[in-house]
Amino acid sequence: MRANFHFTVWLAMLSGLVSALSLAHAAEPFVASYDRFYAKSNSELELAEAGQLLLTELSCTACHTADERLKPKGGPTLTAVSSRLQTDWIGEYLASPSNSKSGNTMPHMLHLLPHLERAEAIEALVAFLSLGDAIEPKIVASGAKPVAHEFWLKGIIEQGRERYHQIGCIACHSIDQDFQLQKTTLSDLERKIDSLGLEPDELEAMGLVIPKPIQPVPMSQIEKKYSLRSLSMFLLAPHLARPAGRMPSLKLEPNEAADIAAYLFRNADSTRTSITDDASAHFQSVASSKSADLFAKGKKLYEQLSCANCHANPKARASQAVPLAKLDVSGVPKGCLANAAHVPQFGLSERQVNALRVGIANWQRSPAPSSSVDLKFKLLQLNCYACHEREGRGGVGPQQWPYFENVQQVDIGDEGRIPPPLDHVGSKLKASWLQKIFDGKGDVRPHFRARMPIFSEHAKLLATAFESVDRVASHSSNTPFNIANPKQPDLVAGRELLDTGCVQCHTLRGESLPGSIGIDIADVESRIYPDWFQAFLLNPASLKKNTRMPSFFPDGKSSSPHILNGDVVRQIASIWSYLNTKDQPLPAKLEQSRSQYFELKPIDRPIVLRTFMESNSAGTHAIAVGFAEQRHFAFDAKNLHLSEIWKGSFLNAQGTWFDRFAPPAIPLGTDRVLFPIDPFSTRTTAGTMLAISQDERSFHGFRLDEKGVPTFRYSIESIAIEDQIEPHSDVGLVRRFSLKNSISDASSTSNELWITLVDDALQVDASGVCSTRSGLKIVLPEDIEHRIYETGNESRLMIQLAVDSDCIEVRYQW
Amino acid sequence: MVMKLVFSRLLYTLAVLSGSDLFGQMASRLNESDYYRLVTIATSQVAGDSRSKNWKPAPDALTLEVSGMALLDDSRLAVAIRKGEVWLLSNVYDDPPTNVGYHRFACALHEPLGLLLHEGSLLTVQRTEMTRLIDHDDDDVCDEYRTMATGWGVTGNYHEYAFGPKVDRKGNLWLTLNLGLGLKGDQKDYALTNKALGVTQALWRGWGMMLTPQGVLKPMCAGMRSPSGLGTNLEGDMFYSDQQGNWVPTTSLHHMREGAFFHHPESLASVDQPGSPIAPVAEVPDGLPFPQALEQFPILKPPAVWLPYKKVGQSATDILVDASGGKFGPFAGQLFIGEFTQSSINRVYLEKIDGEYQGACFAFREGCASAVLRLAQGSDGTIFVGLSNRGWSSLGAASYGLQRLVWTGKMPMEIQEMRAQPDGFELVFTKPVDLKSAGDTNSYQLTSHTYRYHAQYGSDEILEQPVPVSIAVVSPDGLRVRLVAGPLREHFVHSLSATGIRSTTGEPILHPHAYYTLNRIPKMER
Repeated sequence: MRANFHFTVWLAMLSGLVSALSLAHAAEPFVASYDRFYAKSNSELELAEAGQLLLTELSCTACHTADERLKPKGGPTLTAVSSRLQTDWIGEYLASPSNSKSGNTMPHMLHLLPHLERAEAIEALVAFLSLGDAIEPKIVASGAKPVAHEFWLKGIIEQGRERYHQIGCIACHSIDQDFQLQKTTLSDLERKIDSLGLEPDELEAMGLVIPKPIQPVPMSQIEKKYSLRSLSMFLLAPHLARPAGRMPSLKLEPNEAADIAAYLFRNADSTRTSITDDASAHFQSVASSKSADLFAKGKKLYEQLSCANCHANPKARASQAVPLAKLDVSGVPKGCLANAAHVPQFGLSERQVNALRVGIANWQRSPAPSSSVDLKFKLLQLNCYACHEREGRGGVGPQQWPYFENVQQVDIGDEGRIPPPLDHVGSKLKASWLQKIFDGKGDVRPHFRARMPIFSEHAKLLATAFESVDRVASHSSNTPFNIANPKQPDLVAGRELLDTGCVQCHTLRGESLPGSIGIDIADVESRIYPDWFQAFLLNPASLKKNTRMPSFFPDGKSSSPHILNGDVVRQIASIWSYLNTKDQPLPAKLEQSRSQYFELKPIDRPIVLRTFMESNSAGTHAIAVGFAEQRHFAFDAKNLHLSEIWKGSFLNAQGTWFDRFAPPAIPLGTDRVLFPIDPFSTRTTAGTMLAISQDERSFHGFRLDEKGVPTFRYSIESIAIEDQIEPHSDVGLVRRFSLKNSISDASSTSNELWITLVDDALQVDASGVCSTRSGLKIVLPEDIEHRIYETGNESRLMIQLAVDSDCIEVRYQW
Repeated sequence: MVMKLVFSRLLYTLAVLSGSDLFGQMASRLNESDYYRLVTIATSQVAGDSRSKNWKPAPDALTLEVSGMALLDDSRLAVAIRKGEVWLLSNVYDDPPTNVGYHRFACALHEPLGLLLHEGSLLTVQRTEMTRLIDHDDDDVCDEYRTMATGWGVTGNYHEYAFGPKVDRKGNLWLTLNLGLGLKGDQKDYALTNKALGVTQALWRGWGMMLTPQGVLKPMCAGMRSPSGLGTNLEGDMFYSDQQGNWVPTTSLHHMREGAFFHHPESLASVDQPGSPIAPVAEVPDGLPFPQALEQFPILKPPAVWLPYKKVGQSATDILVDASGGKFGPFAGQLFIGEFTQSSINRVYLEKIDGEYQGACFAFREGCASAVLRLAQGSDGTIFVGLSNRGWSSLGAASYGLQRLVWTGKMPMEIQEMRAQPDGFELVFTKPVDLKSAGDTNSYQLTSHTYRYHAQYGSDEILEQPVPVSIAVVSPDGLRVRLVAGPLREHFVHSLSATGIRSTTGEPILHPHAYYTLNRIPKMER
């Protein structure tokens, strides 16, 4: 209790500090990584890094061209910008970018014009920027993707607030103090700190590093800038408007984007929905020649003010400035660094000016070779550090920490809710998989509320960079164990080993133990290098500090010495092989867990299940009946035949009840005996056996007796048959037929009805017991007409079902 | 030309800038719940991944994936669920429903997708047969599962759902058979192939079937894709709804009658089977605009109503006629159509022109907890809404459940009817309109479009053109507006947007968009 109190106070103090800082920083352009990592740095090297980060993120190098590494971030696409943004806002923004949006990175450009000309310039620029086709993602609905009509009007503020705080927006943007978490989750570190019960200053005195709060990336006044539609569309596909990829897509569905847009609009005057989509009606209503002049004037200004240097669209002539290599940054600050009147005004702070000077000078001395990719620099630019830690830098900030939850709020430690650290990630994950992740197609943590954003534009570059930096040169492409063509004993061993621990936390092919949530480890080779897998299993903590993954090989010895003679390397290889081989049975514990939910276990009354079964069994019209006596059968209601009998466990109903693809139910038990299809024949008075066509037979359903045992009712030609099958003591099943001819006077002339019981009969002995090749014994009633017909390798035992018999009883013993 | 386009865009933009009324329309339409309130009887505690092969129910006592509903005479609600059971629910009208009783009546059904109280017992259609559930000893547990009709093809393909039954005015019981999708392996052994058309489907797949009171099962009409909803209008004529996909340009509502063919040619695998009321065809046109396809392909019959994609749902399900005589609000006699993907309910107004049905559709109520699969009207006029989204995706926080939609008694401002006229349309409103807004032709935007009839999945709206409204005359009572507009085009959908209309009390229309499928232009003023 006391511990929690301390933590809360500490958080409150941090928040206070943050608000104070926000004010102090209001004027200088805000670059998240710069602010977090360099705002206090003093060393020459760090200042150089900081300066070079500003060079790209403030797009200095858009005018002062440099090299590939210092490629400018660039600005948003402005084609038809007034179809997305409110015109009043565009005007205000152009008039003073930093007043319109605190910490804005776009320099003030209109100050290059005389005061009196600015209003007209804004009008002209706005006109010019209304040209072209609006950029909007094409939202394709499908059976799997709901898209409500005008979905952007249907967002729900509270849902948006929750999404905003839980899917990852707050890793960069500000936290809303009104948002209440259902439960405060402490990080492992916080737990430790709290357990000490000390005040923050005491902690600091002890040398404990308290993580520094992170400044949120500022937003414009959303409701003055966007419409609900344009904001929803922007959130769905941010890269269309902002190709630099600094604001990434969080894989939103249309309704999710609408919710977040509604939340961000929560303070808007509800009478203003802003730009509507109802364009066509107002298309032709205004015409004036003045507008044509405006357009031309706007374009001229756009070029004159060098807008095109940062905003590649709409296309216009770019202009040149002194290349970075030739800039003189010695002595008194000049040009942009001095907020001079004839150049763009950035509102740089003194520290930023200093960093830029050092960064430029440093680059002029030793520009990076163009071939190598500076991974760390890329991570800073894209602000990957907002969520991920690497080499001791970055990670989710202290205020943001509690908002990262897992879906069911199950406590599986920080790794179950916080984006993973990126240390050595290139030696763990294959570059092909990394690229998938950055492309937005590599999600393996469905239990996370936070989402990995999409960085498609940088996917290839990042994946290659991680690989080249992390995948150590000494690494050989040989796998540490032989994994080609695994042998059956190894697959069996791998399956058994999974039960010794893995399945307690991990999902496999979508199946998991109740209450456990973890990464699905099926097909691990598509993601992970085998040598990393081996090293991780041997000693998880050596590769991932504070992981909850335990070692199953303490001191390099297997905890399951009875499997594969305790051979550690072979055991790990067998797990690997098992995970990567298709169509393997699930580990026993998962099988058991599944059957607990879905296995049908008859206790007192029989269980009847209509389902699909395999075509050699009861097929598409199957009626399976299970009994407490552990003797079961399946009846084919289409071909009117007892299809199969078996012992032991009955059936698993999951496929029938809940699987979209309706797979056939397969008997779980043992001693399955299948019977021939089309059992009925008629024997003419001349003695010929004739098959019965489908038209001459029909199924009428079944009736349950007081014990719940079904009696099937069907007819063949004019003969109505009742057919009941139930357990007989504990040796088998008994089947009773009763037959009645619905045409009363036909019995004298009609053909005889015969039924085939088995097609692998050996012989019928003197007591009327038929033995079969399958081991099944059929006990026939006394005095029944029976024959064995041999054709090919079939040997069919047939009996006559005399019409108007009350009860013909046949027993199946096996 | 380019320059002209550029200018007109610019001018438009400026118009937007200056026309402040464009900024003035906050969607007050979002308060559907002021008029129709949803009462949740039971919903799943969590939403599962509805498309997952490993889908599991929430840890509820009962997996209430409602697939059929029938009100029993004693005011209990019988509910079929997809795993194959029928439950009897008591106290379902309680509000709040805190005392609902659940009793299992039947099990051992294979994905029943309908439930009907008929001659004193329940009927359902499961994958392989129509079954009557009989309780001989009156202990509320079914003891006979009597096969009423069977014999249609079943290959084991998951998509071969069977829907129904519903009863028409002559006492015939109707059911519809979903096409199989992607037959593979030994599933094809159970199917028929029409070599001329190159189509393979099991017997009567894609057909509407009718069981006569004499017990004869007859194939009636073909060309269905995913006919998951059936229902009659007040006259007792039988309709079904279909879902966008290959050959089905958008969700649609069709009048089922003998010999009709609606769109999907794979159903023609059974066209030459004994009992087929449709003559075999040699080929199917692919890629024509629908009105042209109708000319070239004589068996093809247009739907009574197209439901434009996304605007009026994405996947229609059940059809329910409001037979409450006004207890459910101002839409007595109209049809409500369940909507799966968007978890909502849409509304259809039908009229008969030259003996054939056509009419308009409107959005009605969104925000259900999951995909709306079944609808049933209670004795008090309220509508029970059966939910289940397994297999596809839907809006809403639940995977399944049961809700009840209650009219609050407050009259919504709605377009009650949209009726075709020789030179335009007549609109009927639920409340008097304000003369100024409703008499202004600029308050109405009317366009027409059609679809492409082709093998591809769905169709864009094509050949769209504006249909300018030249005259708008408001009736003295303010409840009707006569629009003269043109050119009208037969077999085109005429989309109306009337966002500018206000009631005499200043209310905007709750759902200001209407979509009229104008198969025929009436010759006489009506």
